[in-house]
Amino acid sequence: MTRLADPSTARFKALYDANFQAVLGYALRRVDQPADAADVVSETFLVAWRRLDDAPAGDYRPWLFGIARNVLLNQHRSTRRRARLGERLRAFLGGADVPDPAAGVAEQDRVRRALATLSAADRELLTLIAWDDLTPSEAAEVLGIAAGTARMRLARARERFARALGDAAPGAGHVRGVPHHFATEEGR
Amino acid sequence: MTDDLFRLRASNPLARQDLDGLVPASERAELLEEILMSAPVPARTQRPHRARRWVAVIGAVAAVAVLAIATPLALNRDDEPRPAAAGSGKPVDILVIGSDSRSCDGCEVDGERGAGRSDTTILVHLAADRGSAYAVSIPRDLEVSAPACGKRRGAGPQLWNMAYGKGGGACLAEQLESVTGELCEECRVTVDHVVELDFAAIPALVDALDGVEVCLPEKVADPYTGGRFRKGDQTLDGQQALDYLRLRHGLDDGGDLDRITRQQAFLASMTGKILAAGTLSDLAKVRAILEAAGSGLKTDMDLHALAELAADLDGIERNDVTLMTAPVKTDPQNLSAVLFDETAAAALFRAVANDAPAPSPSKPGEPRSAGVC
Repeated sequence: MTRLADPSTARFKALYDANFQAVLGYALRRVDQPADAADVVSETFLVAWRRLDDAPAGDYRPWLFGIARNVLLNQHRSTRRRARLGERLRAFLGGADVPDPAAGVAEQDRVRRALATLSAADRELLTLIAWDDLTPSEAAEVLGIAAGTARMRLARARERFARALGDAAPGAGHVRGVPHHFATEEGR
Repeated sequence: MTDDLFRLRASNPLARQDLDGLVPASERAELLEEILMSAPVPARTQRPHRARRWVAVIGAVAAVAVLAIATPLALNRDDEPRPAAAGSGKPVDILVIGSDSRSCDGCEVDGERGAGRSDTTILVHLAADRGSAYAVSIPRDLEVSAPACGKRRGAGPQLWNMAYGKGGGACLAEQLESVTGELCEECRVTVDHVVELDFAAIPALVDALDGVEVCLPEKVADPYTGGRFRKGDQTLDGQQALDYLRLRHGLDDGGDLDRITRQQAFLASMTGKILAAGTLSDLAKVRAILEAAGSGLKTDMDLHALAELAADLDGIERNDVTLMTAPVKTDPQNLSAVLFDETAAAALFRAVANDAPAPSPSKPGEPRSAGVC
């Protein structure tokens, strides 16, 4: 009751409840082991709680994804695992029936192979929009770039992605074995 | 190229419906609870003011600890003969904990809920000869491996103050002992006593002190607390002090003036008032202050120990007290936590454990009496 009376705690609770799933999804799509997403989610919300005064008004997702992105970057730099918070969530996700991103049908397989040929920057921008459901300006906020820049980069990334998809020979029925050509002129 | 985004969307490895119900509400609530257990630290203001804040908080809590120690002495003066002054010949280490543990309306002075977290931990070391003392504050964001009494679910490091919620003051003392023992065997500090101050006691303390002086750069009306303050120097009573400490709104364009700065200023001012000549030597006043604090002050010391200490403390001047913060460094893995700077921390706690002078002392300035104008 005391807690609810405090405006910042109430604001954080609302933010947490409304965005937990989005942040979890963002994290799960970008880690190798589902359990690792627990670290990203707990760290992201912990930082958000501490920096609540910096939170923009309106939709919190771009701001939270921006934090999560930094958390992921830091996490990738080292394999050391921090287990301060979210231990229970970690255990839970470790045993949960999380869809395995690697188990795809042929179409998914093709799309992901095409995606893999793009640069990390292209991939990040495209997936923020297609998978995490952000608008280009929201994605710009996550990446810390201007909205106009994001739109320009998106157009180019889409071109490259479409070309990679074309190269991956859609519509040929089953993909058998290793495709003989999916390296584009962009390189990997 | 029209369907590129469509195809990418369709290949989402984890579509929204996959996430529905993936994590049950109970797990979500558990994590929320853990996060709320760690205190909010407004990042923008935290860094530049951190050192000053600690000095102020240490001062206030140490001053109140002195009061706590003096209480039974004052209250039982008629019945108990005052023991002889001068040191008992042994160093004493007292852990002073400022907490927000009482659940009551308006007690969340730091924007926190009232369920037991230690906001401030200070180790007060009194030298065996009682000629000097030092106070070492332990940052609440310090990452440590907690002893069993305070370990939260799962293994691994956790923040300093988490053990308090689970195991209370005694557990925090145990944590200090084990954590310093990990630095080096001869660095292991033995905590002799624990003093706990609940922030909820602050309003009553303020009234018993006949108010605390602060200064605001402009007039403020906070719609949340109903607090109204005029511009300039003013003396706050207990209720006003609470409103002032909770003030978060109405000062938006005051830029550099934020809650933490106000709290620092307030605590510094309160410390100054407690330590001012006259307060501690006026037993009627001490008695009033302590009765006001009531159950907001707790200690494990028995009457004899308190009386002895109070006598010892009489001889220590404010200038003989060195205030410092345990040496820490930012955890490169974790933006929101700190780790011991192992070499410097080992040197400091080795000094504590062996009753040596504190290495590289940093004396604080005089407490500012007026605050932030």
